[in-house]
Amino acid sequence: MKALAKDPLFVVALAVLTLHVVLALLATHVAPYPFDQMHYDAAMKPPSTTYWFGTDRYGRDVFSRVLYGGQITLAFGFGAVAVCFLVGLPAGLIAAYFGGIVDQVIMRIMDVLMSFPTLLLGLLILIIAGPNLVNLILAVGLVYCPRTTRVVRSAALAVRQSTFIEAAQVRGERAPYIIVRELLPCAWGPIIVEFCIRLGYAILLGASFNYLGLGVQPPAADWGALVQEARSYMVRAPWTVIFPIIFISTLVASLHLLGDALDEWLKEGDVA
Amino acid sequence: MPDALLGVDALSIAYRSAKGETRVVRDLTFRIDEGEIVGLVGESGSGKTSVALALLNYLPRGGRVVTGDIRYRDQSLLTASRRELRRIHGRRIAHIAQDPASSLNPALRVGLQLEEGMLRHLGISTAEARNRALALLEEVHLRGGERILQAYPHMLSGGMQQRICIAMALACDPDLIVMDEPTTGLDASTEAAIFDLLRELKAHRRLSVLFISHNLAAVRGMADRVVILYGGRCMEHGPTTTVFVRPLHRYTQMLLNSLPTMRGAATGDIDMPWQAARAPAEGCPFRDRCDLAQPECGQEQVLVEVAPAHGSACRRWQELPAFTVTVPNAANGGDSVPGDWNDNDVPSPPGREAVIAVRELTHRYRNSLLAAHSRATRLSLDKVSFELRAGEVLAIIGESGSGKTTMARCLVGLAQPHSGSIVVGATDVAALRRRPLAIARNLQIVFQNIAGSLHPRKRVGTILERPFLLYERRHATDDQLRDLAHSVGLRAEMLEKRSGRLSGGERQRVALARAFAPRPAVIVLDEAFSALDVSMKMKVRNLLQQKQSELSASYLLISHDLPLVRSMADRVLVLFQGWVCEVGQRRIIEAPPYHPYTETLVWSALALESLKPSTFELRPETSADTGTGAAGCRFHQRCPRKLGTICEREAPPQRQAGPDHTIACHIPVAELATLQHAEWLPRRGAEAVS
Repeated sequence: MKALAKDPLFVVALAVLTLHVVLALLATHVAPYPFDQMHYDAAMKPPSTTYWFGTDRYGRDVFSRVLYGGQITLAFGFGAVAVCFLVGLPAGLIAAYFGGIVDQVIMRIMDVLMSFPTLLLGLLILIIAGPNLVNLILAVGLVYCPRTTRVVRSAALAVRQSTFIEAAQVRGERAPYIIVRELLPCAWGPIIVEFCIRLGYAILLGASFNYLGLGVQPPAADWGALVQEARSYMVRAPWTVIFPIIFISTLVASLHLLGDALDEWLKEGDVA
Repeated sequence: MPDALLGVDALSIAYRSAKGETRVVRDLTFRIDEGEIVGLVGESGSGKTSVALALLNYLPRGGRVVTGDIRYRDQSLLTASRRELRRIHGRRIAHIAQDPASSLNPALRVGLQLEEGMLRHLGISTAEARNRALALLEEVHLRGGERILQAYPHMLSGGMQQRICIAMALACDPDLIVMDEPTTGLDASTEAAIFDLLRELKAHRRLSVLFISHNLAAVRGMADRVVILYGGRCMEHGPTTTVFVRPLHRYTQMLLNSLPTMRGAATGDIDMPWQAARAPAEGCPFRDRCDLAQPECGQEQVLVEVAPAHGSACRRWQELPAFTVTVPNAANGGDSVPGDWNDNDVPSPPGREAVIAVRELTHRYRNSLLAAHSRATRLSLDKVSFELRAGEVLAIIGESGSGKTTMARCLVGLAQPHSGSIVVGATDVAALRRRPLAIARNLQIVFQNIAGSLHPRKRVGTILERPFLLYERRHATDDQLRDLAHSVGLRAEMLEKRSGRLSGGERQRVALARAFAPRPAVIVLDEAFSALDVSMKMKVRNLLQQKQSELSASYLLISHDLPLVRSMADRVLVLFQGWVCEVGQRRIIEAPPYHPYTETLVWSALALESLKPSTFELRPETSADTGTGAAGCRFHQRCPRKLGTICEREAPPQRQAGPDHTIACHIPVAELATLQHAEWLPRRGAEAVS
């Protein structure tokens, strides 16, 4: 853990991520205005001391909307990844441990899911199920779970070959014990990295759906929807687009960097 | 003294890590003269490979020569320019690496790799290089000329690959060859053949060799002088005939004492403490394992010239107890050849019931894709039958590919046999998918891959407690865990450590302790000794023997190490390509009659100790054993005593060669015995051993 605390990339990434989470959690207290309060006399105003990030065409405070949007963005990000891992973690571990026909069945199903373009599959699910936050989470989770399964499987497969797995089998251990207590602890590295990176991807994909109007419905808006709303007048009022974009990109970048740093650290831990 | 061919002078090597610099070699001085073979002997971690790498200017990143000098003739290799080094390395100093398979490029033809160096260093034409390459193949006894030059490395056997590497090293007619464990990973017969070749080359070419090895027997047979390393320091150096006969350092004495041999008694009676994780940096590095250590041993030790050209770093060399090794050689070797097998036959304890009975066990690899391409469908085990009796040590010996590891895996349930039965107690477990816990408990295994058989992230205590939780559904008491750790010489603090942080020797002991924990009836030792240093081997063997009398357990010892088998086993089973060719008491590997295959194994082992009978020729290597026809003896293609077509056509009969001794061969037992005795008796005087 010491080495990790010294890694400047990790520290910065963690600080940025923490800031995002804290801002989202405390949005109600930090935000100067409700996210849907309109100020007709101050539409399309550039950033000022009253409106830090400026206002949109209905005179809504962009800063407040970005903060509230963060709640939605983070909620569906974590939600979608939770769905991913709920499916992918057991599926990947089981496929890797048992191999053979079990592996074939699980992985071929995942292949079929993965052969659809991500956006199209998501669109299909959202159009059938109807656009709302819960469905959005399920859709993104489902679209990405084959990828998570693959990562978990290959991480576990590398450990599967180890002699200590054979030693456990000879000892007479049952499969669930071996999977959870022997296989998983040695496969954490790539899995944690997958979690961070998948979170980044999920947020981006969620933002895409929101941008297409298939996510949360107005007046609520996540960062993707904020960009979409502002699209038509972004030349006249660029601040309406720039701030949500900065928030999305710093969040995703921090997640990726965090994943990289953790990966590096776990690898070193194995060597020592 | 004239300039040495290679002079190493007060060499110290250090590696830099996050924790600072660690010295792996300190103040090492030795020289190699022309036409001399110097053996550099040491256990793992003694720094011997670092010395080799420093000679080749090939220390890994972070490693550097701190002080001292390495001189080739009159030129320092440490200050030489890159251009000068390129002229020396490969041309004047050649290197033969540990693993031939990985030192040859799999994508290039052998011929090209062989000629490359000559084209580069000698500036000769391609045609000339080709001719020299063919001559080199002749010299290393590879028949097949052009055909071998056209082959890719994977098409050759391990022994042939190593011969190619030797040819490559010889290509530019170097003065010095550095060999780093040149035969690790080769079968005993291949190993013996390679050593034969090296001795021959030494005689013909006046080669100088730096021979780095942990194999004491091989060094004894090969080297003119030896340097014994421990903890990066020279413990003793001198002529092989002196150092290995009358060693004057306690470490050398202990090493020689714990070396099992094919002749004479393996003793192992100098009792050393278990190896510590790291040798002390100051003073005598061996002192915390030395039974004669005194407080003064913590002071700086100096090499004392105890006799001309013989140095010892032991300050008390004059007070050491007398220790003399009788080198088994042509002169006294004859006395130790047991005369008749009846003489020293220890009858097996009668009435011992079988704990495991294996009947007609057959195993084949199920991967049909691969099988279609390889020679027909070779069975990895073919109707193997034997029983493991209560309280005995049964050794299964054979070369790699003989099916001995498959046998072990079938026994413990990691491989599914095709047919046959394995009866443990009263249950046939061969066809069971999942074995009852009671049977699993009674059948523990210690794997070859020690480090890998322990979960790296778990604490030692957790690992040792698992058998209690699994088999008895209860937590082990602290006392039990501590006793378990103590029984294998681990301190109680170790229980808190993660297994990934332990040294190799400590892990081996944790693995043993885990196997002992449920007090099993049978422990399978699958090449469990192969990764251990000489001194550790004896410690572990003694521990196993002590535990055996405590638990009255039976061991199934899977091994290719005949001297070790001889020092441990009660009975021996010989496997060749999944087929049992001989089974009997331990003395079946000590005296004729042998099955011809056992004979080649025994003589390879003897040859490694320079005890080879002169009239016997090991068969030249073939690139692969082609599968045998359905009927004949499996061994006929390699058999030195093949009778004729009967061996190809008919399966050999099982002949009773004595009480509890069966040989499967067409040659009658009495004739085998006569033939094989004759091998030893005449011409013994002619075979002088260096």
